[in-house]
Amino acid sequence: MAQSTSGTLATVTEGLNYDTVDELKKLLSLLPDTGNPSRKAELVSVIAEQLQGNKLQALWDQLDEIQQKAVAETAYADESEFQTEQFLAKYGSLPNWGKQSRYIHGYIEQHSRLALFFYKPSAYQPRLVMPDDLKERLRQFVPKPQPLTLRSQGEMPATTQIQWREFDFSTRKYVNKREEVEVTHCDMERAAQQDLLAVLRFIHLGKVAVSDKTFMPTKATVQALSALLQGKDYYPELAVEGQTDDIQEIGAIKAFAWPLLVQAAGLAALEGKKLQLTTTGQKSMGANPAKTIKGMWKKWIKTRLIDELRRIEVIKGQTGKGQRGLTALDKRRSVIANALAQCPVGQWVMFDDFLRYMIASNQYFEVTRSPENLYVAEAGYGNLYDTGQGWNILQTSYLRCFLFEYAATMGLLDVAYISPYQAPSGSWRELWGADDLDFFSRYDGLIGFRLTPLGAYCLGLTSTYQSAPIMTEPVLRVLPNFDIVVTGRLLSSAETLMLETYTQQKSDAVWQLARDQVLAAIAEGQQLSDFREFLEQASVGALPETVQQFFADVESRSQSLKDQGMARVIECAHATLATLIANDTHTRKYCFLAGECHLVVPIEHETRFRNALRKLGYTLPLQ
Amino acid sequence: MSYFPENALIIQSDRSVLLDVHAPKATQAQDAIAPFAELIKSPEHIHTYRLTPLSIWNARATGMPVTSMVEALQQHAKYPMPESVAQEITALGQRYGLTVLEREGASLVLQTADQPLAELLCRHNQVNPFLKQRLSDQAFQVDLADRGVLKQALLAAGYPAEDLAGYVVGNPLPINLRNETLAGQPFQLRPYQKEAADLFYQSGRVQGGSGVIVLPCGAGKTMVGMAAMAAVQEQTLILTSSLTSVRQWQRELLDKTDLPETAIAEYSGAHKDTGAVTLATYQILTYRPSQEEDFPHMALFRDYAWGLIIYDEVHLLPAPIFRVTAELQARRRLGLTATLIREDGREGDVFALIGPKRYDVPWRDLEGQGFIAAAQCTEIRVAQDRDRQMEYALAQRRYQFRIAAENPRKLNIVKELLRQESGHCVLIIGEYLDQLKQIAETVNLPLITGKTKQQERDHLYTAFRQGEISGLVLSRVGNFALDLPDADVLIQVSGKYGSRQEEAQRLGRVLRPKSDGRCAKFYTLVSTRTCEEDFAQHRQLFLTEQGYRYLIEIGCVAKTEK
Repeated sequence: MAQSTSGTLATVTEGLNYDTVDELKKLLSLLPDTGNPSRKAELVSVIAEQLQGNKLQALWDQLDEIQQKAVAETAYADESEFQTEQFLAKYGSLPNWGKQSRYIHGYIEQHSRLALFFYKPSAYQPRLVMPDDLKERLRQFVPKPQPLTLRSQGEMPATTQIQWREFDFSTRKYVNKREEVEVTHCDMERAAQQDLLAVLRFIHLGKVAVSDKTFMPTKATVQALSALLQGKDYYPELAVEGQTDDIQEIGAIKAFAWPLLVQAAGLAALEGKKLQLTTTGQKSMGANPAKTIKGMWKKWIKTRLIDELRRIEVIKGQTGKGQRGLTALDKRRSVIANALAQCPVGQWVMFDDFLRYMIASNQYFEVTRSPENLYVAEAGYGNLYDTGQGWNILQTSYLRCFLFEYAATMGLLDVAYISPYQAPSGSWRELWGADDLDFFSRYDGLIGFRLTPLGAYCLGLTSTYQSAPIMTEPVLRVLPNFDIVVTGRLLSSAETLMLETYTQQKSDAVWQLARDQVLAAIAEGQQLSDFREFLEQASVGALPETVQQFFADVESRSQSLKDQGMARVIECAHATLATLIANDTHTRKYCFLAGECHLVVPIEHETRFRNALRKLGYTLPLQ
Repeated sequence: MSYFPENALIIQSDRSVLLDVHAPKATQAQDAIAPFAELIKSPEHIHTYRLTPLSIWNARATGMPVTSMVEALQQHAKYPMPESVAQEITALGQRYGLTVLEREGASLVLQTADQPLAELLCRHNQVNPFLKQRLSDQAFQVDLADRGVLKQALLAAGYPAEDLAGYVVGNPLPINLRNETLAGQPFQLRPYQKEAADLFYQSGRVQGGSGVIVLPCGAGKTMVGMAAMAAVQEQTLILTSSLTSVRQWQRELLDKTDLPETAIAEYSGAHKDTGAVTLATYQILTYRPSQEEDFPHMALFRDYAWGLIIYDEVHLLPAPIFRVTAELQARRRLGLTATLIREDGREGDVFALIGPKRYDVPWRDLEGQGFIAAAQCTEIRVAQDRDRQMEYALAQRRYQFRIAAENPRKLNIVKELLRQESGHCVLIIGEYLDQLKQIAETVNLPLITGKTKQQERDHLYTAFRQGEISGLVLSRVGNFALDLPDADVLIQVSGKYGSRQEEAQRLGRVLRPKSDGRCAKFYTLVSTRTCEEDFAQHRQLFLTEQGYRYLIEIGCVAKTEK
């Protein structure tokens, strides 16, 4: 018999014809009052007749709820094949197909009634295709399946329960253990904008060194950057590498990502061993950071600077045989970006829910075409393809890394996480050689995220960006001696970050306004008005007179000097030459006299200054 | 984490305790922790207490068990109490009483709770030098003269001694407080004065008899001193910071006690008399002809059988007095001060050698009860003219403060304030004599400096008290122990850098309660855009922490209401 080449079946009869007589008899046994036909043609005819009109509806009624959902999903889908992974992701379980064989994996000894709705598209393929005529008939009475939704919540719980199995040596049995683990919430939207400016300044100071081969930051740079970032790194106390051989190190996340992000965005480039700001980077120092981040996000989607998979160091073979099979980076990232754009703004989404949503909505990406060439621990063992096809640990790990290290670091997402040491083990634990690992990747602790207004802006969901105000209830007392005391409920992470930025923590509940700290924050691009507004909102009662005056003084001092941008300092051979150039009609518009023998030329006037200098009969050799 | 908003205490892991005065249970919480927590500051809204080893040991000395302290904290905590704090209180509390100093004949005996502790202490570097003969496994003989230094050493070792050695009996002094002053006004101690004196004396028990009373300027510390004298009934040595203060004590003793004039003697540069009550200054006691020689007047401490020594303005106590006080642990010692802040950071020595703080009360509480005048503090920011700004900018850093402090434009503000406050009794106080002379000449008020003879000072103070002159210009001599009850406006034109103590003392000059209940006004003039702003901010710290609110005016005088 000819086989269906497209993987679809036009009619039920066509599907039945791919079954053997034995299989058809088993199907017949699932139907009521059908006599005792023995020839294949009779069997096909009798069964096909039962799948029409009221008899079909009666059969459908006898299916259990999850089987009915399986039928409905396929009947209303464009594809005729039952989508196992998507169905599992959407409903959390698979329908009952019948009694599985104990001896042959995947072989069904006794079909359930669901087998009457799905057929083989060829003699050797699984029974998963719904014929077109049956779909048409089913759509007349089967209700449409519920639309796919992404679960989200307004608040992320303060703790999460983790479960694991442990061998009890006294009873010599495995027992289930549970523990409540504290969840860290990290608001990244404001932090990322401050971090961007801090990183650009740090690069401008010539303090960011990266490898000239991989473009990844050096250990020293990562350590220096960790201290500089708002709220430090996600795991600040665990981020220092080389502490001990016994414990798997987490390492830096944000501090690692930033040098790559600015390179990918063209804001900095390697010169020698250090990064230097490009012209775009210099302009970005004075530009709206949200716009810069939007550009950075677009460039990151396309960058080939690094494959995020490289950050899952336990996956070996990436630079060897496995490299050829890795898929295009921009396609992977675009799929994730599209899925992110479907997340509600300002709502927490659990990572597992997001993963299920991507699978259920068929937003699929592949990390490699040849998982057999990637492995854990030792080549030839622990191959990644052992964990099955589709959404295996490769995609999951990649997704976690992309969201946690890059999307969140850029401020598109706020994140909620636990320590990766506490994160529940996944299927990777079954891999050969993975027994000794404390965690599969440093990103395993990511349990949820929240799309920020900045994220919505970067993903194109909104055309303009306005930073989300920190809404807060009065939880503080601001005292005239500059103490700020937490007297209400515990502070949120955003509130804590705000206080950490502008004040010094004196004790558990007391923070103190200090001019140095506030000036340092302003120098890093923070807005004093934001802080004042926050204090006014969070404070029970008006700010004391001394504190108001403090703000007025600091504001006045912070506005007394203005950064006019970068400039070149040029030393002249003698004072008269400096005076001549500073006063000449050609050159005076582009420079200032500094001291006796030095001239200052703003960067934007440099070319015109050089040209004018030549007219004057001098030149400035390039250094 | 559980949170009880109605509770008032926030207990922090550094052993400080914050009291939210607006919480519904604030008063109960305050009463519960007062016996074992030391009040550090009391600005508006939030008061800060600290659980120190001394505060805990003081509470243990009164018989309070450690469990009661922990329970009191747990009962009133807004958030769960850090476990470490409970453990520290327990550990510290249990240490008290492990060493006891007792008198045995002509010497002292240090008893330890057990032999291991005895072994530990006799090997301790600081304690060992003062332990003489070992009397038993747990007891050591100690020289009488080492009582103070041994207590200091034991405190440093973390095993505070319970001093039950008592005090020597001084020569008797029959003294009673009058019910009516010489002028015929009724007189009796205010409740807090009586409470302070009782807490000091503790009915003659050995646990009492030494300590410091902290009361705001104008709250009647002298009365507390006199009440202590009346309780002890023994001859008394009173040490003060200036001759003016000696005279004030003299006046008060005659006015409010039944002591005859002959019983009161002055031991100063002018007179070297001694009597049943002797008034001396720190200056005369610490005088010595040269650096190599001894202090000849220190004999005053040892050569007379004083039953009580009163240290007025104890925060000014000079180092040599500390040393001699270490030898005087067998005599009752009373320290009086408005602020325990010592700019030299030797608050610990005051605690160890004079005694622990026995009584303290927030200034604003007394103000609320009308025992000291309500005060309105205003900082007036005065800009410098352009030339002065340039002079300031070009000056070396160490001269900048003086340039800012002597800003000539302050003179106009002073004149404006005098116009505004006409009819009031005004004190103008400053640091720099040139500036003060210029002000005195311009506003035509007498100037008193360190060089002004005592006789002339007394004459001017009397004239001011009697309303013959409406104001005085004072140098640093006006900072302490100056009793000018009618002064109600103080203009501070310059100060000693960032001294919080000086700020508090100067405000104290106008805090004596006014007969008509009017409010005192305290103006501080500060040059804008100079380091004087920073120093002013630091100076205000003590007063803001006492609950005073500062109003800040820019460049001109404005009427401000509290």
